[in-house]
Amino acid sequence: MNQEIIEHLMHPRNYGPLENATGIGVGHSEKTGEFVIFYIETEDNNLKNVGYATNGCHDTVVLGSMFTEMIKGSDLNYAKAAAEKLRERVAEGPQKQQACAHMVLSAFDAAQIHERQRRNGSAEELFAIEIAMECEVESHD
Amino acid sequence: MIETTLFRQKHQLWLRMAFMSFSVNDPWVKNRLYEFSQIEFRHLKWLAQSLYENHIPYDYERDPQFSCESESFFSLIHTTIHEMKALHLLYQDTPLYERMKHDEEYMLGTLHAYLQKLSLDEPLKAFNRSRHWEDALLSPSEIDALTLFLFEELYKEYELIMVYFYCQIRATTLSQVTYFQDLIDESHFHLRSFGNMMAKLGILALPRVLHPRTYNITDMEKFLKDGILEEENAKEECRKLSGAISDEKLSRFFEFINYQESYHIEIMKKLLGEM
Repeated sequence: MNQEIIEHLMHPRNYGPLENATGIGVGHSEKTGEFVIFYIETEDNNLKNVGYATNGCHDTVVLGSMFTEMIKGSDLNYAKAAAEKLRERVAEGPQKQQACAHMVLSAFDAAQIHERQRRNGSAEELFAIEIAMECEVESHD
Repeated sequence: MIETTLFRQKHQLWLRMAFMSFSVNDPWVKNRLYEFSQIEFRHLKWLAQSLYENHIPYDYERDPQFSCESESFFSLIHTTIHEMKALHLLYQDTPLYERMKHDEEYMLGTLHAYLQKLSLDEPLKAFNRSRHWEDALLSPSEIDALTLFLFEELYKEYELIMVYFYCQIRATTLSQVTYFQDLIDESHFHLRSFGNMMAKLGILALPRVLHPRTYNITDMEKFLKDGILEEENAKEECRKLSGAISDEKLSRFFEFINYQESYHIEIMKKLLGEM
């Protein structure tokens, strides 16, 4: 385990809600109660600020921390491409990591949907996407 | 609202005391600070009860700058003294606040006395990221497994304490209060054990701030059923770690924790029966 992972575990980056979020999305598993909540603040198609919170496992924490660090300050197209790349990369890894990444990325997708809905006049507080994969998949083996 | 700020600061002070206790090397000071942290937790409980009875909202937010990390014990003491004195400015003239202030004046006296003992001002190893386990020779993969387990479970125990605490304040029968208290006490022991182990490894860090979605329980039955599932997962994690670690003493400790989780499930089943 490298030092970078330890740092993300000790001090997850961009952790917590944003005061001026323009979109709030949740990726959650109804079965386990685990969730990731993702906050975005966009301006002129740029992700001015991002934040996340989770009650999930260490893989979810580290992935959320790394992903938010990667996309913060970038334009939305870059962020979407980065999300796709991350999805492809974890697809080769253990199923547990796939589930964690899926939860983080679903929450990011949900935040973008929420932002679009808000622009169209919706007053919903957030948009949620339920995911079928379970983070604890390995524990039941 | 002043009470919301006060609750947040008391919550931080409990964490400050507990994590300062985990980080310090001297065993006497470590125990004393842990006792103080338990007093702070009781204050927090009485405060939450009072706020809830008076329909005053409170939450588990923390100051984004709040940190338990420092290179020196004396620097942590100075920070604690400063935070405690700032808190006293928020106390009002009620028996509860009088009690809190009285306790904390004694704690301040003890902290000032520590500052006179120069031998205590040694560098703290708790945050040096060494990941070296002094008590036994562990392989890199054993250290990795232990590291991940401790990060995961320290957060979970903190989460459990705060969620059970939230439920206990809203409990409707005496037996519910008792069951939640048992669960809180058990998690305090686990938090303390894991915190001290993380400090030994040089990776002590505060648990993540809880999102309100974690503790605003609307369906208690579902919460308890999920909790039982989570305890079973925790048992599995303990069992896996116990199997992955060759050191007999450490392995036995995780077996002991694993067995404790079994009884948590029984307490939660009793709570489910109360619903």
